[in-house]
Amino acid sequence: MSVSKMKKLTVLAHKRDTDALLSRLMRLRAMELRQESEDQGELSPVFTDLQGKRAELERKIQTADSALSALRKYGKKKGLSSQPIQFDMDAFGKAGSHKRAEEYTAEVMALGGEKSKCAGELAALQTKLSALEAWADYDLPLECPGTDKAGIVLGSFPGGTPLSKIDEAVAQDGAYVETVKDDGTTMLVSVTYLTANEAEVMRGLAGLGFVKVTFEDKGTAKEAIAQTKGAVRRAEARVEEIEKRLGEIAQDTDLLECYYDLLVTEARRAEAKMQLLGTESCTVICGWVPEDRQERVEALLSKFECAFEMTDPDEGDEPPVLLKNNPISRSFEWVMGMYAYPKYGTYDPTVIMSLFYVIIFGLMFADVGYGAILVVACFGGILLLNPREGMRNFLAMFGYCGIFCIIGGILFGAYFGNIPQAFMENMMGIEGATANVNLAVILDPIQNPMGFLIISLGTGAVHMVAGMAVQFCVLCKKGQWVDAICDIPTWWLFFAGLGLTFLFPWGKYVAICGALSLIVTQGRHEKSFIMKIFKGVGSLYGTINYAADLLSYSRILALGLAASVIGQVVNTMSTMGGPSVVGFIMMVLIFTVGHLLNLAINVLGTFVHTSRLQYIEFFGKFFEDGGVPFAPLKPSDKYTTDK
Amino acid sequence: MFKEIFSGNNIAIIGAAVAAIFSGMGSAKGVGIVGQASAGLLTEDPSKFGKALLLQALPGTQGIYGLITAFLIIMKIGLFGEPATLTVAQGGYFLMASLPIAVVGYFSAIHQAKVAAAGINLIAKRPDEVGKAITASALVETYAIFALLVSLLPILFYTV
Repeated sequence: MSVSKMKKLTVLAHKRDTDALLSRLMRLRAMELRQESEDQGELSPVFTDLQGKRAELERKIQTADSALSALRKYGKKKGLSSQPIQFDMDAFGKAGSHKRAEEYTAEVMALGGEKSKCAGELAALQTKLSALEAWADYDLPLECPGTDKAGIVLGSFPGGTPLSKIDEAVAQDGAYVETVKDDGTTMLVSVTYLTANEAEVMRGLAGLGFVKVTFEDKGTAKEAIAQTKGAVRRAEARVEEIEKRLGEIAQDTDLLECYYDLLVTEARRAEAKMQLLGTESCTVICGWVPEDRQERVEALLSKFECAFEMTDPDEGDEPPVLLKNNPISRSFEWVMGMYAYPKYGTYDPTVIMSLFYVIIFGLMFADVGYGAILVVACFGGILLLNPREGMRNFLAMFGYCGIFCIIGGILFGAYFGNIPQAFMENMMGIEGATANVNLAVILDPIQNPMGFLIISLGTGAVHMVAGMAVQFCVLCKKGQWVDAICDIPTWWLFFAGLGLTFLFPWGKYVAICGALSLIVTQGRHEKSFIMKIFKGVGSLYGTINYAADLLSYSRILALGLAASVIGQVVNTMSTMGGPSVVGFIMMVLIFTVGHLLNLAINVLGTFVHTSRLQYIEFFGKFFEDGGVPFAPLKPSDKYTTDK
Repeated sequence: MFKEIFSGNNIAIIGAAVAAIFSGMGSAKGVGIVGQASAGLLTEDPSKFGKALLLQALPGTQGIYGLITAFLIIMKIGLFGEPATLTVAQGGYFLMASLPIAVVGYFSAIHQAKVAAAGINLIAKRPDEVGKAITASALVETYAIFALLVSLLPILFYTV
């Protein structure tokens, strides 16, 4: 309903109490820290030695985060519906959990490192194994030292090299070539030669594409294979062991999640402390507290030995903005947050915006079927998953919009496009059902687009007039009575006249009165009479802006048609198979996929364009942006919530 | 020969084709432009995929508008049931009606994509401001919507 009033809080506390005080304040989530930078006087930053501690905390947070992500695939699956852990931060440190979490983190990181080392080893062993297996049929030791006179060398030729040719090349040097294996692509050979002729033999072999192979293993190929396989088994066993241990630790993920939130909270507190000013023994904490949480903050502060005062904002202060709305409108605050927050002390239009939002959404996406899906999916999601606040508001907003889609669908006769008619015509054989059966209470936008265009523009006119009415009230509240009366009702008179001209012959006199009132009032800030008249007449040009805004609402018709035409196309295609078994199967398939696709496209389009109509056509009439959202000091709640 | 090719029905189908072709080309190019920009963002921060996808989908609507126009023409000339026999002038009527969404759809998709691609830069630095990036990009789409209206109304009002 409104922008919450803020109180400026100043606390003078003992330096030794600062930590406890800040912790309690964070838990209360009721104060945004706002340290005044100027006017320091004798005060200076109190906690100057925290840089190191903060860096240390940052490091720990990072480690805890990587440990948690390493554990994620071993722990029990957390569904969408998982609830935050009830967490008592004070008890955590006392019960030794803190130490245990630290040990776990270190262990997880060490195990993770070892695991990736094992994986690297395994890959190397596998490569080695496949190289060795090719030599399995070779009976001599792989690194045969040879004798005084004879040497032996292992190697490969390109596959298909004829043995006779190799023999020919090296026989006169007294070498003997034996094929170990030939799989067509490579030919593995052992060559026995006289050491005296080594150089000639090697040259002869190289000429035919010989590549020497060396092994580090002692013993025969079979023995080496057995050894390598043993090493693979050991590495695999170790990986399994590590995974088992990680799985055990993952059972305690909750502990680590608490630990993570604790660290982040500590880091936030350290950051807050670094901003604080004070003297040797006392600290000054300044911040903003919403009026309705004032009592709770006072009750908390009175438990400490400290002096505090709550004052109203001074001129020139810029308090943060906290919106206060009824439970339904609260779901629409994020839509406004996407645009901007209203300036502190100005009007919060969430309620009136949410009303127009659902109406325009319902007109643009009028369809009983799609609306029902939105309602079921969104409210069902809230009931089943019990999501956190942000997600809950997001779902609730689309749920409310879904209700209005259903209402719109009944009024304009859309049920998944025109599935009743398409079904009657193609499946039940009623000729001309798509053209003649009309389920609409008011009108069918496809058969009577002009009628729907008038409804769209009419809604737009009401929306714009409401925006101007808000501006009227805002100006009155500020005490700018003259501006309020000169700038708003004059336009209304002019618009009413333009509208009446079409209906009654005397309407044009109303329009002329409106135009005259604009000419008289709009130049009132100018000094000379000529400029006053000139500015006044010029203001009539503003009609174009209003007309452009109004025509912008024709998008309600265009997007509405887009959704229903695509829906109809899907229906035509899905019922094309006629009343047969195949036809019914085809219908179910095309119907499901087609309508889900249409729903997805149009929810996005309708959301974007309904928002745009609020932001530009509606907010443009009165909105004062520039508010900074209230961001209280609070503990981290990524995984946990206060007990 | 010439008369057979450019019969009334065929000219109407050219209209449907033109609406689908040009707005589709514009959207394809537009979605491509934003897709390239968002790939750059996602290499740095894959967690912004949802927001980037939202922006990438925006210039895709012009193609849908072209498709709607094409389908309405096809339905009006009765290709799903009993095909009507149109005179050349009647066929020309549909061809002309398809021009606004074909031309404006093509250009607005590309311009919208440029704004959306700039919006990708915006959410790279300030992910919370995705709403503003979307709104800025949606402003361009307004003109595609108007063009769709101008294309649809003559088609809907026509009785074969």
